[in-house]
Amino acid sequence: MTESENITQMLTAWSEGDENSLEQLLPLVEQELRRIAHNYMRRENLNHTLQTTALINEAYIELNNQHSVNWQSRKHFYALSAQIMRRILLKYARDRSCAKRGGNFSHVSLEDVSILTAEKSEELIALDEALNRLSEIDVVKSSIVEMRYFGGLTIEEIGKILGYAPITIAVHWKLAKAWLGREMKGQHYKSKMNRSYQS
Amino acid sequence: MRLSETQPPKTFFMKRTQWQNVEKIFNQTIFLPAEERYGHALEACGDNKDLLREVIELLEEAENNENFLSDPIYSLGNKILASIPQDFLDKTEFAFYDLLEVLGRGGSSVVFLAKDKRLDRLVALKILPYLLPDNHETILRFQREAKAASAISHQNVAHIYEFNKAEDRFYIAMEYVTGETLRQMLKKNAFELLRVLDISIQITRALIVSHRANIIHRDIKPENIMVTDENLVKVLDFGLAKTFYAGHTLEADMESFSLLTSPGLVIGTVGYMSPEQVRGQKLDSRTDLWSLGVTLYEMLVGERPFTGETQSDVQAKILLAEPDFPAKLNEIPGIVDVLKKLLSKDVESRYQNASDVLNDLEFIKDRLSSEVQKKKTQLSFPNEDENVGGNKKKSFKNFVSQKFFPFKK
Repeated sequence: MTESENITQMLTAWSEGDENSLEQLLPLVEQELRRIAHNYMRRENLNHTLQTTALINEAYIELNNQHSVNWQSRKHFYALSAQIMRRILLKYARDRSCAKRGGNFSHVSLEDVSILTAEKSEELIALDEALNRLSEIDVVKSSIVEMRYFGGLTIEEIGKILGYAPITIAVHWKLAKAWLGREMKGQHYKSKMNRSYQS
Repeated sequence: MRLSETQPPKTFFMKRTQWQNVEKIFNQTIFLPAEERYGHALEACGDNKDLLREVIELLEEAENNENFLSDPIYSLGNKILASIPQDFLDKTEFAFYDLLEVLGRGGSSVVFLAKDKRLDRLVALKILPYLLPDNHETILRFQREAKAASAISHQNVAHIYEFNKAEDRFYIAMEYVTGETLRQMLKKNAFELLRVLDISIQITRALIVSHRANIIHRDIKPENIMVTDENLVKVLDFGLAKTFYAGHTLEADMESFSLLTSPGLVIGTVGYMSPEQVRGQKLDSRTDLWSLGVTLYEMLVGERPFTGETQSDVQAKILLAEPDFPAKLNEIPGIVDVLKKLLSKDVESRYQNASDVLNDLEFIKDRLSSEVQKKKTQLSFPNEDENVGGNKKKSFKNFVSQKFFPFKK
């Protein structure tokens, strides 16, 4: 079996709820995304914003057989990539926030260029937690947020992936955004209150 | 997004059906003209107060343009993807070096403890992100500074051994210094006054030799200052800390204000920046004297002179606010004057060179030492270890008022 066939199969298995295939897929796709981002940054100005969609597209094409683009597996691939972007950002944010609290920084200063500020990192961690809670009450909205916020997909693209009209996605997005915004304020308050009012 | 602290806590953990009600009413209401929304929500929710509160809050939040999610994050994700990849951290060899352990990593660079195979010498190897191939000017500037920095040989400056390129990445091999950073020390406990002066004097000496070699540090702060077990101060990253990034992340001008205000992206720690750095003006060696002033202030007072909730607040303070000088500082004659002169917003009224700072600091230290000597011959002293582990401000107070009593009778 070629690698691309393998990936298509794993994607299909994942979409059917097979968690094992996800574990195999994640490192593969992440590595590919990193490689492409690297090459891109090497070629282009770092400041230039690389569209995540473009990145994900390229990764998909690289990992798959270019001639047999299967939209079904491509949809899964997009959703998966958004999830990977979320994980990568969160990991980075946690490292940052840990470093701020005097984690393992030693010997040599490394604060020269921070992609995320400590403040932004804390916000991201709070968002991640809020998003997990949203997924418990409305999984459609949480995956829309994941694809849009972390994956950089447009309303139209998300509509295609989820099989809804763009307007439906836009309405979901509006409420999800409001709910998360409100929730994060509550969360901030919560940490200030020393979590004394756990539900 | 500004996190509001006035909002009450939310404990409304919703059941699925409640959520569907909220969603239904929200969706009906949100597209109405603003003035009709509240009325509609009131009517739709009936006497369900929880539901109404939830809907109203969500409607309010939906109008909040500063919502966190309005700010896309994915471009940052791409930058992270392009930064030092995990597998890079697992490397065991790079150029002429055996990589022994990761000492730390930052946004896009990583520092290894490494062994130079040619000389069998331990070094701190800092591997930098990719440089743009077309940005020759930055590379040249960086090389120039690295060369100048490597020419500095002084006990208070961590030696730069090599600046080179391998596997498409630039790297700097520098003296491997063991000890603690000033930041780590500050976290632990307050300093004795003589120690503060001793450390500041050594930093100032490092500045003198570097400025003489036309190298500006640009990023003096406690994270960049190491103190060895023998109390020897080593200033790290001379002339390299920021130059490299100058053309790299920021096109031409690293100190440009737009960078500092671009969301989520910050170079260095704003708290130690001089007003001219905040403004993005051209820098000379006097910017280091300002940062030295912030560092000295922090060692004495236990916090920075300019603080604020956000980076922008800090910047505003740097530009506009006068720092507070706690009354206790007056018990060390001369120190407030030194701080004021280091922290002068106008570069022309600041100290003009590090040698003048050194003179003043040494003068204060000598006087203090002789006072201590005098006291020692007169009366017995409380145990010096008394304050270890104590709260910074309290320790400082104890120190000045009880240990030395130098200038107060």
